[in-house]
Amino acid sequence: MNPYITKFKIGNADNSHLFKLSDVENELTETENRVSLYSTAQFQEQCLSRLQLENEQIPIHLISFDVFDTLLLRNNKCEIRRFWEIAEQCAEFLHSKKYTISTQEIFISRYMSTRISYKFSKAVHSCREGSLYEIYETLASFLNIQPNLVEHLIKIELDYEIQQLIVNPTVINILNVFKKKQLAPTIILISDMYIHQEHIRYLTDHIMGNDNFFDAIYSSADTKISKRSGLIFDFLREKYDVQPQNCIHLGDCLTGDFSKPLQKGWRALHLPISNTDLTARFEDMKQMERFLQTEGIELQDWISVQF
Amino acid sequence: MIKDNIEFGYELMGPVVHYYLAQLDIHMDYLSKYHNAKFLFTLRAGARIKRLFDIYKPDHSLDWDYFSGSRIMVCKGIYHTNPQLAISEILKNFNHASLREVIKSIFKSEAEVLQLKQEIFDQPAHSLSNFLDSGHQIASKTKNYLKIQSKLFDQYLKSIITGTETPVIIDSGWQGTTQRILSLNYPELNWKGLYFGQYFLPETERYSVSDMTGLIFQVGQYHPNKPHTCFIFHRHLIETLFETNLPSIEKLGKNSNGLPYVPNLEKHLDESEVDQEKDPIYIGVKTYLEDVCNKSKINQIYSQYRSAVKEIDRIITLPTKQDVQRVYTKPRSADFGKELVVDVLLRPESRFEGDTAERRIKTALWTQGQIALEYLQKIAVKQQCVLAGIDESALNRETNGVTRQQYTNIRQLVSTFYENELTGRVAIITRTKDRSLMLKRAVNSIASQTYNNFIWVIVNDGGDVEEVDKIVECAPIDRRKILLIHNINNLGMEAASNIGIRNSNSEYVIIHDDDDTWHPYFLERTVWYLNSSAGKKYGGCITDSVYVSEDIVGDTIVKLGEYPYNDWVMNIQLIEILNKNLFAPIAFLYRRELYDKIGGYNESLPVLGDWEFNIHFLMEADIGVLKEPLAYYHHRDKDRNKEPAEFDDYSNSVIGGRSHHIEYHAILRNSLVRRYPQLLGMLSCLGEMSHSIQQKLAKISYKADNSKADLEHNKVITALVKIIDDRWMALHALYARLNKISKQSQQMSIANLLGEANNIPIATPPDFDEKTYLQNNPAVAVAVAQKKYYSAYHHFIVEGRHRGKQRPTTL
Repeated sequence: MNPYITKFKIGNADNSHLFKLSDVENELTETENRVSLYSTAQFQEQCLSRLQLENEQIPIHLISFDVFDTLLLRNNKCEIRRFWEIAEQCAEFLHSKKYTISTQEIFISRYMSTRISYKFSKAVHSCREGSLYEIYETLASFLNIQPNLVEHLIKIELDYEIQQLIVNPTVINILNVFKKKQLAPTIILISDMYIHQEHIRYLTDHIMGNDNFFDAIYSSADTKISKRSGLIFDFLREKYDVQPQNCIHLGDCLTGDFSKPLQKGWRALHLPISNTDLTARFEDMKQMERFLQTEGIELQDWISVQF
Repeated sequence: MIKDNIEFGYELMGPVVHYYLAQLDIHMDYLSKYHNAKFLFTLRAGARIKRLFDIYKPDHSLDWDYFSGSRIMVCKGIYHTNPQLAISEILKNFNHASLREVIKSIFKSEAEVLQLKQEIFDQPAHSLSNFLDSGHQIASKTKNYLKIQSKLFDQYLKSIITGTETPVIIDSGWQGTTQRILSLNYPELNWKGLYFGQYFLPETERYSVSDMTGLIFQVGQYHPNKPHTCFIFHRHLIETLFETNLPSIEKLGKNSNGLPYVPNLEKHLDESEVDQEKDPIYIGVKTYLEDVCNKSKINQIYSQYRSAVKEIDRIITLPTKQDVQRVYTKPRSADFGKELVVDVLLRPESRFEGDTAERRIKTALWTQGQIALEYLQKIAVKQQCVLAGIDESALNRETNGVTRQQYTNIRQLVSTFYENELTGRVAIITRTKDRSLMLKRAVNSIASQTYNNFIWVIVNDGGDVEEVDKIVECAPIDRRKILLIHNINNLGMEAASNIGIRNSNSEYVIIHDDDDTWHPYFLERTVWYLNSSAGKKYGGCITDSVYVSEDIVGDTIVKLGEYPYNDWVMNIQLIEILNKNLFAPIAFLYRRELYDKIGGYNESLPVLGDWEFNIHFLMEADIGVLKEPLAYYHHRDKDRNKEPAEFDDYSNSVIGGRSHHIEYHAILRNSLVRRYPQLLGMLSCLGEMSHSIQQKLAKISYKADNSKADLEHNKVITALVKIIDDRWMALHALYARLNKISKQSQQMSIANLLGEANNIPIATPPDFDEKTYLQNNPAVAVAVAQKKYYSAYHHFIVEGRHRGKQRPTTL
């Protein structure tokens, strides 16, 4: 058997054999419905056999998953719409506490706070990351909201997220098989995100139930070093005392979930977002842009966060 | 007019400053809470910023102080600890000045007592460093003065930043020079900066940018779709808005207790009376803030700012004569110790014989404003649009919402995921055979490209399948963009190219051989160029190339040197390329339609196939030249004198197949003449060209004869220097050996001493110019920095002289 397992013959020329390296990746890219595809037994089997073959070649001692759009699938609301809807719920809550703070005020302050948190958070190995605590504490201080309400505002955001996310059946299938067959001693979640590990735990507990699949959760909001810098992969390899070739990571982001782990000697499986989903998010963003204009807000001021 | 200026300040600049203060507020609150920061309102601008902030938020409890931190003050302040940095920063502001001017600026009013009439002070300013070490009486005075100021500054700074590790500079902008200098001199502190705007010049070091922020803009250039970037065109509007009318504080005083104090500080802080003539815009802004500050919410502040900044953008970027009057600001007073006042705009009339509108436009601080003064509006708008990069025809269109350019960017991001999105896609063809070391490097070259819309086709031309699979499997490149082709047998380079190109689909094509590499911007720049209006006329384009000389040592590629490769090429002429190939495939991105038209690479040619292809290409279309060295053309050429048969798998076709090249030169030329009889006309041109070259050579040889004697003389000197170098090394080796094994009896000869000398730290002889050698050989500089060699001289004697490197001398 060819030891290099992800090569798929696509044709022959006169004196040549042609191969593609992507099957799972292409199917995900082209699917009309990512959730349906992830739900089919055939696709689940396909992903699983890729990992099992990897495991046969070189045993997997550590398997890690990205969280958003990998373990937990987002719907196709763009980020700007999510933030607007969260701001609406926060405004409603504050109104019940006798504040007269509008959705617009919260939305704008949230963006201002987010940018500051990303820009000036304390760096670790030159890496910075935003923090949900910092974002809401800064927002609260700026809008003269009592500090003791910050916790509730954060809960509003997390509960909102719970409503928007669904668990990925393919990843659950992988987790079940790996747990059952004890294929990888260590299973972890890694997220490049401003929400902290306890927030991710809150989301997974509520969405997946408390199945205790994961040995640990790492968020760049806590570690500052991240997948996109690649440093988290070095950190985890050392922490769990494993060789990089015995580690594999799965996720949707080409850079942070695929290229960086490979550069660090890990193996990786890229689970991209489909073109249909990307287009839907883009269309939603255009809709939000028109809506925000009616609220006196220019999307281009906040465009750095795309989807 | 003053009324108009005040109104401009109130209605337009007021909302912008209001939003700036809101941004300042939320940033300071964050930095205070999470970094225990102390805020330094940096004079002169800091005084007014603080005053306006007090109107915005009278009840804040921030830890703050004023800071006398003009750039010249800071340079004087760090002289004692970092004289090199201080002098280099000072000299950046005295490009074409004399030594006299720079010394006057350092001393300012105290310079009057100095005798600076001597000729020595006519020297250019950049001789300051040497002058200060010259022992001249004025040099000693200057050094002494700088040392006193340094000590006072150090005391002063420490007194105002007690209790924090995070001092935050608050100033108007633009490049954060003060912060950068202080960060270098006081690295133990986490310096941060909050500025109205940050404008990065191309040459600006982006040092510490992550710790600086421009609260209204932070860009390198004006963007027509981002109105807040308009201030780049008229930074002086912001400078004069915030700066008091007093001169910049450029020295510290010492009180009777020996402690530092800031002279005239109270004058800077006391602005109970603001001069309407000088500061009408400031008055307008201040009144606006007093009227609205305690009534506004952030969404209102933001919304007012958005409306105002759009109008300011129009006024600054495309002003009419009336607008110019509205935005009129007081003249700019120079800092950095210079006694200079510069008008923002010039009267549109001749200042001297030969003066022109273009000259005045070039001189004015606000270029667009000067254009408005010089020309009729219709003409002025055209010029202003060109300067700002605005499409004039789009001026009156609705520009609400995300602009077309932004949509394009976002769509491009989305479209990279579409397999059938061919526009702009590049097919990168990598031909390889049993060169895994090289292929791994090519992977990194492709993976690091900033341009992502490509398909990578690897053509393994009869080499080991498993090795290639292994490398491609681990490549950090999007799997969806990889096509792997294994040829069962070796079909040759040109056939491999054809197979790769014909099995892919794209708008552009390029050959990235396994042994070559790119700068990360290669694809981004070349695709941009061919897509641009300037590049549309070309069938392809090349960038400048760098010739990389290298060697394979075990499992490592060792770089021996880097040289510009044919960097004299400014354009590609068919007549020149008929003579010889001018560029390597790694530098050449072209449109696929041209490949189809030509019918591909000639598979019957074992070498020179790319040259023939380029000639056919030029018969169909032109090739543009992008003068940026973004392609690296690698050669394993250490053993240039080897017979071709001795070359191994790692040699490239130019070096390894030299005899083939000679043979096929003739075959190729003959076939061209047979295929293109009309080429004979061109060949006659070539004949003409070679005739003219011969004539030039004849003239040069006359001169060469005259310099022959010099050459002979130089040869003798070179030989003598080599002997001296050998003896110098032997001397050191002898010394080392005597020290180490003095008791052992050793047979000593120059030759075996020289061998030992390679491995000991040898002092550089007095005549050897270390600096020039390192400048001429950047790779050596890196190796010395990495302590691979003790010094530049050490490299020269161990490696350099054997490779024919020049021995620079200080004599």
